[in-house]
Amino acid sequence: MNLDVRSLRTFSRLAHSGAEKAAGSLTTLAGIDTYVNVTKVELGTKTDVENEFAERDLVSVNIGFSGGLDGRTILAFSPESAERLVDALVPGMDPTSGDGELAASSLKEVANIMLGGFIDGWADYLDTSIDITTPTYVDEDSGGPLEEVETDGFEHREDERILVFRNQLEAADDAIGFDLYMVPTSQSIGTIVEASGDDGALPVESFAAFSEMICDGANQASDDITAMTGIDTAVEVSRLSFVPIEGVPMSLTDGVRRGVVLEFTGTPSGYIAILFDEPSAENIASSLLPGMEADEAMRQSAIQEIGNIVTSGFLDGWANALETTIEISPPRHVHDIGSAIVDPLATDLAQSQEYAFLIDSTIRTDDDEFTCDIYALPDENELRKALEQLSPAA
Amino acid sequence: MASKVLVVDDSAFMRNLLKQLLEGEHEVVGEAENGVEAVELYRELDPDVVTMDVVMPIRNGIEATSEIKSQDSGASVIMCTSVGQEEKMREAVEAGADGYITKPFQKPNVLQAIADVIQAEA
Amino acid sequence: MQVYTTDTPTSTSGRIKVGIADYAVDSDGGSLTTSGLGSCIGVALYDPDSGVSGLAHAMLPEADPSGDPAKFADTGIQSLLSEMQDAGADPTRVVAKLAGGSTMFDFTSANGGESIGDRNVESARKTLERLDIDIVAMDVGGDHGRSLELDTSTGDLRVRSAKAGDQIL
Repeated sequence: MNLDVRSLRTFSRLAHSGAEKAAGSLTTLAGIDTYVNVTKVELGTKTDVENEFAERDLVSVNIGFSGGLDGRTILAFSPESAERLVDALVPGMDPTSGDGELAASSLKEVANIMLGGFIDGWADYLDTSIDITTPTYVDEDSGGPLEEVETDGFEHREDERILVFRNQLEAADDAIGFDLYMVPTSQSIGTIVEASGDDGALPVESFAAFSEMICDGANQASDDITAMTGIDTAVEVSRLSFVPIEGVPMSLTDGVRRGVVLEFTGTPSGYIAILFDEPSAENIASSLLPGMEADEAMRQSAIQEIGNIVTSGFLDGWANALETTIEISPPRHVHDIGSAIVDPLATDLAQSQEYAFLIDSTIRTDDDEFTCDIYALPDENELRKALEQLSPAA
Repeated sequence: MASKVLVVDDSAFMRNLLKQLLEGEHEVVGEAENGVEAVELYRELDPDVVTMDVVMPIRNGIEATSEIKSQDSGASVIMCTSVGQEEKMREAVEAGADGYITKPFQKPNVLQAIADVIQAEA
Repeated sequence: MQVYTTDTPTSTSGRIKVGIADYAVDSDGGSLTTSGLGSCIGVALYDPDSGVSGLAHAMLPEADPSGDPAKFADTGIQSLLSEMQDAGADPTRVVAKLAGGSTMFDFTSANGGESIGDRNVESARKTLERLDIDIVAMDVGGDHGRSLELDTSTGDLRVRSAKAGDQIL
């Protein structure tokens, strides 16, 4: 299977317009203004998706699709969002009484309408018809949302490469947020790639090799943080996605973040931001300066230093795999609105590219002492060149 | 004029929503959760209009519509579905559907669709 | 067979979110919000008589013909204004407030030239001048991020900043 940037753009547009339609459906049904925040095309494995569901406590509704395209769509909510949504759909309902079934029924029907609308655009684009199944409700008591996907044409291999279309939707008042996923089978991805033409396509193995590099980099960064702080950390997520450039800052909230921003140059060049929420920044600075009455300048310096080390850990593997050197600028300390920190980085690249490959990783301690988010934004053209080198044919 | 409506949908929430929406306008004489029940209840209740979901377990709405139409060619069936694909609409036409409402619907659309099929029949 | 589809819903909560490379118009006295302005520029337009207001969040100063107009300050302002006119605004009464366009980092790629933030502010000013729209208030530049909320019933633009605190323009 080969993938090219033109297909990725087509995917991204189809997914985005499907998600807008789904958001419109929810606005009509529940009377809650709903927006599509970001549409990401993620390149990962089945295990990545399952892990994400396992680690977050999610309520989800699944709908399978088959015919012109095969795969599965999932609408996933946090339990709080699900509760608020049910309240908007069936006001005044008491979930502790016999109404529990009606609550599940309302969520299933919402998913049915939203996911049905999402799929329509793909069917019309491919000039085919796609059948959808009745919805299945999954909460923490049931199995994983992908547990039955083998029957839908997915392979049994845990490391099977899949493309995941993830759309972040949220209500205008921020009270309800959820994700709409679409996971087509490999064969179906082939179908869409063919329909959108492959111009300079890269074998999916190159993306896979790059994803592995990202995972190795994130693990190295996590080990480095543990070595410096003496606190055990683990990589929670690490993924490569393809997003419209304006979607990069929009995937962060306007909560205040602290951390560092660095520029890297080489093949590829780009930007990296290492961000902590404020309590995490405090905790990490304290663990780096044990027993010291450190002033603000010293704490800032500690954060800069960890940013430096994490960046090196993250990028060294890339440079080695690509047999090149990547130069890293000194870290600039930042303390600002999260999305505004990333905005200038995306904007700089927006001058020459409409879409971006976004790498985002989250490193977390077991006891939630701190969370570290890494966002890397390589130049699209340069990354493509780098990926060509990783391709097995090269 | 109030018509007798049979509501067919596998979602209890959606059947509730349709009942509320039709209250005071039309009379919901029965509810079915799948295509098999729909065919049985149609025979039993002889409604003026059927609102028919498409994706349902056991027997889907397209098959149920064909069955109802083959038993009573004068039946009025309005598809009521989240699927808006052109190809699927063609299937509905072939099955003999008289109207096609996409979810989420708004009250005026549903009332208009019912009025239109009743008028076409008269 | 007649097909009945639902119209695109209009806002129900009176609070409209404007994304990045996006703009929106409101004429019902609700609010328009946008967040994460770094080097991006936020442009609030307000017609006090008709109450028709709009908010744009542009990324880059000048349009690239193939791009989405909402992404650029020049075409974004123009598109926003014409949508406001369609909603009943009189362009001769419309006034503007600007916020954003900061220079948060001095990256090497800027090559010592003007930062994108500065160029965004400049492009917005020029475009508004060309359209004969007065800028009545401004909070631009600096090295910090901003989030905006435009109260369309009063034309007040609330600027939130993690560093500089909140203010109303």
